[in-house]
Amino acid sequence: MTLPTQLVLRAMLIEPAQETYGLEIGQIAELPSGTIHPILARLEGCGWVESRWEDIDPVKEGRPRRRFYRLTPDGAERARNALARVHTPRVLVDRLRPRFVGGAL
Amino acid sequence: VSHRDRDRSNARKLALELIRVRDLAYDRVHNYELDPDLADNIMHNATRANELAARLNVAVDLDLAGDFDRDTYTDLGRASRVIWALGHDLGRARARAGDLYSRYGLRVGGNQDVATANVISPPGRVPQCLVALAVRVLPVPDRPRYAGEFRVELVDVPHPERLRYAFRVLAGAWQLRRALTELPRTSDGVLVRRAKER
Repeated sequence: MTLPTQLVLRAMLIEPAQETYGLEIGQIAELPSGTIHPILARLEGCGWVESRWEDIDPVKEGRPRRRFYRLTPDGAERARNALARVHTPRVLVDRLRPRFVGGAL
Repeated sequence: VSHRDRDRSNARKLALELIRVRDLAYDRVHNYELDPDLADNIMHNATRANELAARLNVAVDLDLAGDFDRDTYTDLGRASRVIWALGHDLGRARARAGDLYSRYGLRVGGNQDVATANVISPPGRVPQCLVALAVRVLPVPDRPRYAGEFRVELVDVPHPERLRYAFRVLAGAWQLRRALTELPRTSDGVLVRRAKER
């Protein structure tokens, strides 16, 4: 499992039942937006994550609908198990993140 | 539209984007007070953008009948990285320019000051074009979904960061394309997992 995938899963496991959208996940994981969607696509493809369009009226809200992501119950369990097996030295995480600290866009 | 036509069309658009970014880079370097290292970086990448755009245009013109060769696909990858690097540096350049405007009490874009420039507003044309280009890199069945996702995220991003966001989405589009093409689908392009849910 790649380090960005671990960071995305850790971010989503903070509140597994809570729906979040791509930009928000990127900010929590401190990863840039371009790296988030490929990871979410793979996780969704293997059934760990599910997504849906936000149920709002875009005209009323004055903005387009967001795409919400959430870990499936099975995905949350498997993510916890997978993360428990990997050991990622802090130095590797810091090496990946410093460029994006303070603005993970 | 055939696979080859799409590749050629994407390469041509990427070449155009490289030229736009190059021009934007020259404009920033000449019109803003930048630190020398940042200006050097921007000029170096602007020169690479120029070379890559020329190579991609030649490749598109010559490869009228066949698939692109491996070097051209490598150039396409390089192009997205150069665009990303320039977007990153231009984002920093913009922040630096904003500091200068703020410090000297100048105004941005005529009668709009820095504070009001940060208020939520519709995305500009360049970020929208970059995001639209990123969507066109993706497999056809996935385009409407990601067009919607990127559009709303672009609105959610603070105004001064939108260009940088758009560049990063474009730079990541090839990776997203790879992720999406690896997923199992039915013959009409629907993801297998999604098909089971319906």
